[in-house]
Parts: sequence; structure tokens; C-alpha cells
Amino acid sequence: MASELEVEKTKKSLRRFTRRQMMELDTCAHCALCTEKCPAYAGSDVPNYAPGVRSSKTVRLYNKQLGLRARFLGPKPITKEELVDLADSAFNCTLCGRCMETCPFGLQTHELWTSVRRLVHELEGSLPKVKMLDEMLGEYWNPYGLDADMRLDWADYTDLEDAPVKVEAEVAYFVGCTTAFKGANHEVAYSIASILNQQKEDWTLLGEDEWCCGSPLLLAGNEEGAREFAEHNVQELEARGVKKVITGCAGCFRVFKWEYPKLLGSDPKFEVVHAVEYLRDSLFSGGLKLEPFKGKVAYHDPCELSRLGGVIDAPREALKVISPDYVELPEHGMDVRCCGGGGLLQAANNDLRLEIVKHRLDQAESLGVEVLTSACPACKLAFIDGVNAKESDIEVLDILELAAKQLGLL
Amino acid sequence: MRGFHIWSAEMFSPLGEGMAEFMVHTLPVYMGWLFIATQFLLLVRRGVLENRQLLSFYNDYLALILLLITTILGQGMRIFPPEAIPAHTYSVVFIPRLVVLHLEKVPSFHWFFLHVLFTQLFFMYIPFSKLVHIFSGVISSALYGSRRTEYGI
Repeated sequence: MASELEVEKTKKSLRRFTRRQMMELDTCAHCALCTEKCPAYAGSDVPNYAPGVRSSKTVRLYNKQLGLRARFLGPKPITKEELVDLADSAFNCTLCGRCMETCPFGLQTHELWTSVRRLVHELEGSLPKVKMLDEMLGEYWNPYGLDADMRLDWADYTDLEDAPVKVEAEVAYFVGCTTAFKGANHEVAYSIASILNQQKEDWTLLGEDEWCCGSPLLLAGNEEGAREFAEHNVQELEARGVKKVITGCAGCFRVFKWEYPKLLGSDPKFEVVHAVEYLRDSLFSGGLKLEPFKGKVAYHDPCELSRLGGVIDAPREALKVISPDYVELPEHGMDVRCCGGGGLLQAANNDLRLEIVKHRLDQAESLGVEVLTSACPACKLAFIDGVNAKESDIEVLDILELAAKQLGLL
Repeated sequence: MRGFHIWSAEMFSPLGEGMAEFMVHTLPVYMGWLFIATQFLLLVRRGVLENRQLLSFYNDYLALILLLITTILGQGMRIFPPEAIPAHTYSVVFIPRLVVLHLEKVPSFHWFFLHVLFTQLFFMYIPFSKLVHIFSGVISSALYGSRRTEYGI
């Protein structure tokens, strides 16, 4: 007989779905239009990963405990097998939000699937690697289990001369864990810092006081944990009198800009800007002059920056200045096809992540792209892994790296 | 629709008697067959295509079957010859007077009665089925629109 979960606990977690989300789950007509656009389903052919199936399974669990029948005749317990099945569906998803953009009823699926992950987390059904990541964040304040004093190692490795950690500054550069701890992204941090220096900004790093932005915790379903991280980071930034926070990470940007106000119940006292927006402004009105790049360049929209973050035009405007041979990839902007690097998919199912990124690289190769740029360290890592797996000749760079090269800074 | 005077012979009379007859009596029969075929294909689609089948609950099939039955009964009402309506049955149907139908022709009563019954069942079932998206879809689309505005996209 299948083991059952405690009814009161499951009911409490299920009640955390908002009224809007319950309405959205009821609105899902199972038309399956999103299925055809879902990168996780396309890369696996596993129906359990399709958004509509996830919606059906969530409704089924909800109805077992809080549906009309359950209210009259009593709730039916949820089994551990059902929870494992839901976790499998919830975490084999890049949380790219493409289903949201495809849905004819505009169901806000990104938030729905995050809530499904929260349900799984609260019922202790997360996948082992996701649980491990969650625990590491609680212990080290970053998802890689590295000591905080290693946060500035990128500056040493790249020989950055001026990487200030001040007690007061106008601008803060929030590096983010994937940029600070992953070697492949160290030059992204170097490029952003160099451009800030070139523009003579009064800027600072948080150094060892920087904690993860909390994005991986939200993606793991640990909303309470993410709130603690948000409180810490906002406190550190506001204590330094920071007016503008610049980050080169799409995940950090989205969480700072759109999730922190929700988590904290109020807007932080600083503006949040992605480095690519800062670059665009510097190129157009900040006097930044560079040598145009000769070669075919394409830009991949990070889902968290474009569809989920609202920044679509700035990278294009910057790239058109950097490279006259800029080409647009198919499935871009609001309809961008995810590279597979998001949603903790690497922890949940790295093979699927590689399948997804290979498809995106095929699209770039078919256009004869020489340099594939993005504006997210997770996308960059996914593309590098994909290029290695495919033995492709495409060079993968962050826009900021390309700009720094053309400025003669890198 | 004819019963509610939304689609009547008077409306099409300026087009000539022949055209009015076609619009009010002939075209609806063809449209009815087309609608039945569409419902049938939707049912087959849900059963045949794997990923859609896996998305389906029993109530997805039930909603389609109810709609299909309602449409078939409506078509039967049109194509079978009219019958004399027993007075007592007439009063049972029309005593509530919440909706007054203006019928130009008396339909085949048994089919009409069943059509009305299944239409009522279908409408009653809407709030408990996925068909609720007819209403909630308007709200969710508006909410997504406001999100896009907030995000500046």
C-alpha cells in the first residue's frame, strides 16, 4: 500500500496557493498549446514534464484535499508516490515561462510552477540534489558550498587592479554566485568592473558580505529562506547608502527587481539595473566609445532578463553598436527558447539541460553565428557545456565581455 | 437563436424570401452538422493524440460529450417533423416563464425537450468543468496584460 502524507500538513501547504493561482489552475483547459513550446518536453518527450500535465496533477492533489467532494465527504490523503511524481514534473522544468507567453489565457505559469515547487519543498519531496543545494545555501550563503572569503577571488585571478569594497558608495556591483565562483564567468565580472572604473563611477562590491540573491532558494521552493537572504542583501546595500545596484546576472536582476519587493513587502531604497542596460546607456549617452567587432554576432535572451525581467531592447541596442553584423536568432525576445540553464535543471536533470542547449546551438549554427552572446552567467555556462558536447566552433561570450574586448579593457 | 429573435426571418427579409429561407432554415442545419463534426473531432483528438490524452481528466471528455449530445438533440429538433404538443407538457415547460421563446415553427417536441434539458445540464456543469475558462479566461488574460504593462513589455 502506498505511504500517505499527513493530511493537515498537505492541506496547509495547498492553501498557500493564492486565489488567482487556483483560478488559473481551473482555467487551464488542457489545450496543450504550451506543450509544443516547452523546451523540457521538446528535449525529452516525457509527458510528465509538459506544463499542462503539471497543472492537471496539481489540481488533482488540490481536489483530493480541498475540492468540493473533499469538503463534503472528507479529504483523501496524498501518497508519497504522488508527491514524487509531482516533484519529477516540477523540477524537470527550466522555469523559463514560455508556457506563460504561449497560453491563450495568459496563465502566469512561472509563479504557478514556483508555487508547486514550494509545495514539494514544504512536503519534503524535493529531489536529492536540490535538497543538497538548499542545505549548502543555508550553510555557506551560496549554492556552491564555497567559503565567503572566496567571493573576491575572481578579482585576483583576472588581475583587476581596482575592486573596491567601500563602506559608502553611490553604485554597488552585485556580482552573484555563478559569476563570482565559476571560473568561466570571472571575465564577466572583470569586464563589468573595468567598465565601471572606466566610467569613473563611485562604486563598491559587497565582498564577503554579499550573499546569494536568493534566486536558487526560490527555484527550490524555499520561500522563507529566500526572504532571509533578501533581508540581508538589502540591509547591506542600504547601509552603504547605495542608490543603484548593477548586476550582470539575469537571475539576480529578476529577483532583486521583481521578487524582493514581494518578499520584503516594500520596495528597496535603490534602483536595480542590469549591466547590459548600464552598458547601453554608457554607449549612447555616457561617452563610451569602442571599436566595432567584425564577425557575425547573435544574442540569446536570458529568460529571466527578457520574458521574466522585462529587458528586451537594451541588449539589442547595445549590440547593434558593438557589432554591425548582429543577427537575430529565431525564437527570441518574449518568445525566447530557453537554453536549458535555468530553473535548477542542471541539478535536477543535466542530460535534459544539454539536450535543450544543443537545440539552441543548432539554431545559432544554422545562421553561421561566430560569437553567441548572452547576458546571464547561467546561460553562458550552459552554452559552453553545449559547445563542448557538440564540438561546435561557436565562441560563447557575455555581451559585457564582448564590449570590454572592443573597448580594449579585456 | 431563432427562439430568442437573434436570428429571424424578419431580419433577412430585405434579402428576399429565398435568401431568408436559406439563412433561417437551411444554413443552420448545415452549421449544426459542422458543429457536430467539430465536437466529434475534438473528442477523437483528445483520445488519439498521446500528450493531449495524458492531459485529460474524465471531465474533459464529459464536457465534450455533453456538448455533443446537446448539439445532436438540437439537430434532431430541426430535422424531425414537428409533433402535436400535449397541453400539460407545454405548461410544465413554459410555466416558469423566465425565458420566453418565440418559435416561428413548432419543433419536434421530444427532441426539443431533450435539447433544452441537456442544454441546462451543460450550463449547470460549466462551473465545475474546464469550461469555466469561458469566463475565468477573460480575467486571467486581463491579469497577464496588467503584468506585462508593469514589466514594461
